[in-house]
Amino acid sequence: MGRLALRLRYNLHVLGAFVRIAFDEQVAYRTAYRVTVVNMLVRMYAVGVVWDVLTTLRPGIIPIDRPQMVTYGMLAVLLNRLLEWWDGPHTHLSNRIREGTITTDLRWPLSLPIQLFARSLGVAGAQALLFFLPGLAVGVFLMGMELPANLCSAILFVVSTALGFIILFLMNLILGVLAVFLISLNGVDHFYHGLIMLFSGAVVPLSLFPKPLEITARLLPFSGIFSTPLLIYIGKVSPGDALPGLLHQIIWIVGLAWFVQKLWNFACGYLVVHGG
Amino acid sequence: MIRTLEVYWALVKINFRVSLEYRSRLLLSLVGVFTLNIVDIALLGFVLAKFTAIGGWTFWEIVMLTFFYVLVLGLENMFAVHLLQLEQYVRTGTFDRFLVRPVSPLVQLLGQQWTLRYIDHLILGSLGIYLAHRNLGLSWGVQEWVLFFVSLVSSAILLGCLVLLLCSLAFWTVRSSPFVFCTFEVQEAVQHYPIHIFGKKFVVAVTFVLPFAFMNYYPLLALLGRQSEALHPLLPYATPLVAIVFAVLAWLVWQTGINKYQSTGT
Repeated sequence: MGRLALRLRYNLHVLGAFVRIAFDEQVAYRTAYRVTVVNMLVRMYAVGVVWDVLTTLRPGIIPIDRPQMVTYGMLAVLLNRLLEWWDGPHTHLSNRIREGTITTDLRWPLSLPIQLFARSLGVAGAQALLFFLPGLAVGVFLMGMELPANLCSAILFVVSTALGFIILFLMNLILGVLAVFLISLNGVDHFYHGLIMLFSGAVVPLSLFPKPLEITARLLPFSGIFSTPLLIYIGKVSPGDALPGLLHQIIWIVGLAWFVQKLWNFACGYLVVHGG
Repeated sequence: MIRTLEVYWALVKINFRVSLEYRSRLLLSLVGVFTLNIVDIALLGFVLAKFTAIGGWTFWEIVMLTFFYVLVLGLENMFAVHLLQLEQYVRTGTFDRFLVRPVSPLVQLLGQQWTLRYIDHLILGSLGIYLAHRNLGLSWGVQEWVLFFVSLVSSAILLGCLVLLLCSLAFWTVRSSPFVFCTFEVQEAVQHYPIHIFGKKFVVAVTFVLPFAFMNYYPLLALLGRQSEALHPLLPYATPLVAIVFAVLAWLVWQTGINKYQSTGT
């Protein structure tokens, strides 16, 4: 028991180190940070105006009212920044495989998927503190964003966002592991990013899609990344009705985690280290 | 000048042949970029299908606005996409090699990549413009077509110069990608819509600070006979002039940056 506790403590210590490194990387360039904040706010404003204009123009045409839709658009911009889905473990892993530096990662006393998870956690933590929370404050106080309808919705939003983060991490990891076989993800990553853009609800709510496509999108894991937490936040899905959405996220996490484990074990047998 | 163009052409040929060596990679890139474009257009289509018009612009006018930008982006990326790697060269200290060769560093940098990856922007853009033109019932004469192509090339040059200007900031800040990609993010959010819907202050900002409005909005105002919607009736024709101004500005920033450049030594 003592040895187990010691090992757990050691692993948590190493995990914490990876999280810290990822966090430090995010705050290293201050000018870049300031520019990113300004641009994020301008993008929030622009997206908010687009939805404001559209919903004012033809109220009732979509099943989400104007303040909710403006909040949805602005919060989607913030979630985009928080999750940084275009630059996750897949880009890191494919770079390391291409350069051959993956040998260093494999020597660490923590499995590579766990290292990558810790890294993603660090990045998301930094994004939450540096971008998401300040952006949310500016959005609520200056841009007409709404707060969640009640505390329960707020808590469920946090839970759902955390689940969405895990889904995204697992999918990114699957794509990253594919780099073992493909060497370069060039083009494949664009295709994958296209799927996220289309099916996640990050740009346009799924309720605006043609019906068959909406049903398909709701079944796929992508909707668990953006659509589910966003709809909970704006109150379109009340706390009482949130369970199916959360279950959908959990089922995909279990399935994807199982698949990642199998794929990683299989890929390790095929890994060829390049000279860089 | 002719010598510089010869060197540029030689570099482009070499790097283009290199890209053709990896055919599956090129094919995957084409499919990937095509998917992103289709998704982008489909999402806009879903919105327009519900709302039919935005800011007084009809469905097909917005289609033309969007696809004009797709064409501009395709042209710019085809020639200038490698500028985005400048940050990488500066950070790793490998920019030094551009400075020790007897050719302009900018020509060397641009010549590193001429890619077919963005050819689908041109195909999709042309298709979109054709459909919009047909459905709007436009009957352009020679004058309008000349204006169309001049605006298109000027917009692509303007976008390329803006990217060069932002990428050159890497000489001071080492990292320039946040400047470039964050600008792109804002651009993506506004380039699909008639810019006046964002309010007059915003129009002023994207006219006189970051000139996004000249990349599709103003040229389309001229081509669709909507000049009266502009801040000034001459602005819809000003894209070539703005492109020249930005070319000079980008060149100055680039030159100042190179003079200031100190290798990171990594």
